[in-house]
Amino acid sequence: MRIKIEMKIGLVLFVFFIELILFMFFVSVLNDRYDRNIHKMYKMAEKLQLVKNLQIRLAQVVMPVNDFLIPGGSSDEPEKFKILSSNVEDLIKEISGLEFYNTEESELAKHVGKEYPELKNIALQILSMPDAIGNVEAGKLMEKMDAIAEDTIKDAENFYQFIHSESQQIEAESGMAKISLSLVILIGILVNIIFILGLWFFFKRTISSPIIHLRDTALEIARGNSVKRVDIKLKDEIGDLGLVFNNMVDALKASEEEMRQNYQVQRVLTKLLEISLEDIPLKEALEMALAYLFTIPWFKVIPKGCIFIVEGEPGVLVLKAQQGLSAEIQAMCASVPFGRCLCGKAALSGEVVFSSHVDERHENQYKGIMSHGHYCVPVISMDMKTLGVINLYLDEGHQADDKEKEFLHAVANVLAGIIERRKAEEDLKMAYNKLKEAQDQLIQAEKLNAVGQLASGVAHEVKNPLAIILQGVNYLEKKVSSPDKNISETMSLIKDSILRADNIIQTLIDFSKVGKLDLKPENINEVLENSLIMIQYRFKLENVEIIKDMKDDLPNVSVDKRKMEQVFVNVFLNAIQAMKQGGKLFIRSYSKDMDKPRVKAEDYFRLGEKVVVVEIEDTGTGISKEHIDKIFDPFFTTKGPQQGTGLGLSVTRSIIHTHKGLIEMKSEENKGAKVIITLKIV
Amino acid sequence: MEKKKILIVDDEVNFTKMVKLNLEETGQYEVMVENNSSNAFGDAKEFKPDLILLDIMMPGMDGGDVASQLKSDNTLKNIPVVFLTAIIKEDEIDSHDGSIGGHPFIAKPVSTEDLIKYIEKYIR
Repeated sequence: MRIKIEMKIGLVLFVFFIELILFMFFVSVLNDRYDRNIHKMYKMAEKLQLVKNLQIRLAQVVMPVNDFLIPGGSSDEPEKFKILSSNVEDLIKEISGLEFYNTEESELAKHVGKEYPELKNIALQILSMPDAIGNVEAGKLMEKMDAIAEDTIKDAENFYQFIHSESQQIEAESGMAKISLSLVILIGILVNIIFILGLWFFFKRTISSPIIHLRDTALEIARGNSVKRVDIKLKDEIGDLGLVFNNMVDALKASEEEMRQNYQVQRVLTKLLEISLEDIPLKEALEMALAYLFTIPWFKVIPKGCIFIVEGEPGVLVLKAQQGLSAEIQAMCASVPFGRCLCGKAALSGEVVFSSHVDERHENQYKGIMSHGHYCVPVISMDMKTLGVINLYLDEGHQADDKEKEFLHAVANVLAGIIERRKAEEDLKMAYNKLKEAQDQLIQAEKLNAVGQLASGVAHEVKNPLAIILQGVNYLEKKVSSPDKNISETMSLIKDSILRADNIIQTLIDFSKVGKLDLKPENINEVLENSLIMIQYRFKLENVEIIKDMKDDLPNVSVDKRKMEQVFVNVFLNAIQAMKQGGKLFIRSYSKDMDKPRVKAEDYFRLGEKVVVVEIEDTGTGISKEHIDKIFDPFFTTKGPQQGTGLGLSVTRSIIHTHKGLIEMKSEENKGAKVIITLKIV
Repeated sequence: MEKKKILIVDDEVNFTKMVKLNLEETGQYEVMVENNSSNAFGDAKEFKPDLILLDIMMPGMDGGDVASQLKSDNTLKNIPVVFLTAIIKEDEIDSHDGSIGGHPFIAKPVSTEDLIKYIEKYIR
């Protein structure tokens, strides 16, 4: 039942007031009674004193009469008697005028001194007798007077005893009253103390404590400590205040919780934005993003899910990042076409697909699948294209929540930015690489062009003097005849040197001319055969056996035939030079699918691209580990100064690279060497 | 025996001097040397050579220009022209169908022996 505070206070004070009144009343009553008793006692004591005095006077009043009758008595006995009698009469009068508390007392009081007038008369008679001494009548009167005096004294005594008894009773009563009063006062004090304590406790409990509790709780909240409710169960204004306070605390808690959740959401989104700025591969970025999604406490998802993106083939989702998925699921969901299963449907519709359990839409199922739910959230670009899907696992029976969906939309938007940015970066990188490649080639071509021009200039400037020298030597040979063998040897040396110098210049020119290709579809086996024919005499001369394993029906390759012949001739010549004691030369050709992915700008082949491969392997001296890395460097040579300029393999490599092909050398010292040339097919 | 007439057009003075020396040494050739390509046409008209050895890279008119000039003249167009070039290698001659613009060529430096071989191969 609701009672207002003012009513409670009023009621309590009223009760207290009543209690005080009652207390005062009782105290007053008892005090009054006590006072009356005291008053009575005083009166009784007065009466007793009066009666006592009367008794004394009565005993004394007859003495003058007795003395009057005694011979030798004084003459003033009558005077004495009058005085004493007057005293007695006063006393009797006073006694009769007393206040009596009961009838018995009043009756007894009436008896006191009732016979005194007779006594007085008798006494006066005696005293008026002129010869009263020895007078028989006087004696009789005296006896009568004594008897009356005795009765009167007895009456007085009776009255005295009665008064005394009453006085004792009153005294006793007075004592009781005093005790009662004391007790009542004590009890009253105790009751009041208890009452006041009760009042204090009541006010404390109903007013002060709740208010202090409210204040303390409010202070705690103001200091930023824990927000908690107050426990006030009163059904009054303070109870109302407590209710309002608790509502406010609940609102504050709800607001705090909302802020905390928003902060958690913002933190995750900020982390995702940070990820987007990091220079890491897309897969790693998406894996980090997925991990952050599971860090929000209120987002009740199982820490299991994946992110699909659309890459390469449009209309197909490719699993790019995952957490907690088994190998079986990863394999099953490696590639999901739009429209298939929940993620495919989300990709197709561009809307979030939610399921609380495994239903008919969950087309990708596996043996032993446990019932669970999903959020499949499409990642949409600014121009409304589906870039991917976020797939999160949920407990069965999970209720779809607008707040969760809103959060996932925000995440999807950030991921859209990440994916688009990465793709743009990759496209840019690829375009940059292509541009750089083209630029490098252009620079190289220009360099080569410049070198070519330089080489042409150098060749012209150097070859002409060489031509003059050669002509000069030819003339001298004809004109100088001497027995001195040295002269002819010297001429021969000069001619050889001219040829050597000419070769060097020519190779330089060749090196510079590499960039200009006359590409045509050719059968590489034919090119190989032509090259072999060109130097077949050398094979015979050096005792080198040729073993061919060239596959038929190879796809054509796009090559400059002359340049490729130059390449093969160069490689064959190197092999022959490495087999001075003869040996075997294996020539193989075949086609295959490229099994190495592009790693550098100069890798011209995609993974899986069909290519034609030529292998030329000798059984010669091989190349040591320390030389193998430099084998294609210009001017590097393992041959003596008479045998090579070191430009052959570098020219060969330049030609292959200009064809956008690959050339590799595999060799170990004394274990022969194998040159592997990979070319693009038409 | 009448000597065969060779006109050599090349801006390299010492080279032409040596070639003239070596060819005339054989006793079979009469060699006219022209170091200024712009005079080649006039020289050919006057000398009426049996073969013209023509350098390609020359200041002013290059070998190609001179060859075109010669071809445009009815009296001179049939004179065999052999280019002398410092750029093309001898072993490329065969695979290059042995000609530049229809004219055969010799790569410098060339020995007298080889030069005579070429001259005898192409001379009319």
